[in-house]
Amino acid sequence: MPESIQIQLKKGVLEMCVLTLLARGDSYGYELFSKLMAQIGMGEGTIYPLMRRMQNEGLVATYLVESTGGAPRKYYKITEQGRGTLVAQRAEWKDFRASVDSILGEDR
Amino acid sequence: MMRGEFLEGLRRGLRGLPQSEIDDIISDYEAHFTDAMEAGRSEAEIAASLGSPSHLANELGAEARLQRWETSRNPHTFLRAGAAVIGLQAINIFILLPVLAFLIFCAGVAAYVLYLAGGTGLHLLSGLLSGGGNVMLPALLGAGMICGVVGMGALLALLLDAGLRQLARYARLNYRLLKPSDEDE
Repeated sequence: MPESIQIQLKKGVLEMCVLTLLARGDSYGYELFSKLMAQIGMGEGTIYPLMRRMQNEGLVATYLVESTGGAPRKYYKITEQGRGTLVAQRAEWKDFRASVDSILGEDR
Repeated sequence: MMRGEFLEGLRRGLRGLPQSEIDDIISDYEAHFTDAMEAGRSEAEIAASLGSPSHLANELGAEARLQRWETSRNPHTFLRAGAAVIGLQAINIFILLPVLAFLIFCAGVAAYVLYLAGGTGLHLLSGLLSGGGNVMLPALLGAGMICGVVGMGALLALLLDAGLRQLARYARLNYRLLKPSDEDE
């Protein structure tokens, strides 16, 4: 079944969005999900496979914070490598967006 | 589906992974339920929005096995990771099957040729031990063939390795990262 262009686009930029959020401050699963959900419409259970992969690739690290009366909460933080990847992806995204804009602009 | 049912399905799908890894994954989703319910959502709504636990388990399992293979490359982790990636729905089986059949055929032919060459090499080399007549030439030839076989074997292993790497990249691009309902559109 062919996927809509929007879904492919979202898949492509998801990692960059997560890294951007984490560059602004450490966060945990549900918070990341609700921020992304509100802004780009992100699948609910799938933030965790994505975070595990990014952790495996060394882009993010995790630590536990004791919470009152519950299980300790797992926080994600961006690593140095993650910051490097974010810079590269943002540059790529800007180039890509400029190219698409210039093509779309020809119709005007 | 309710919280317990979802987590049970996930746990079942993850069977075969190390217990510590399963516990870690389950605790991610437990925390997700807790946080989402605190935000005022119902168990059933959260579970429905999370999608199929067995599908999630497949992706999480494939990722875990790929990671194990990437940190310790050996035939065992290779086979586990390969099987897990091929089991993903993200990999289109109708595209993959012909490719796989062709690869297995090639690997089979290569293995057979290597076996023949290695056997001949050993046979020639063994002439050195039995003594008699002119043994130096066949023995050198035998040693040469064995070296060739070892080299080709290493090359074959490298090719298989590169193949799984590509497959892993493709699988990671196609993990179902969005809402199940989006995918069905």
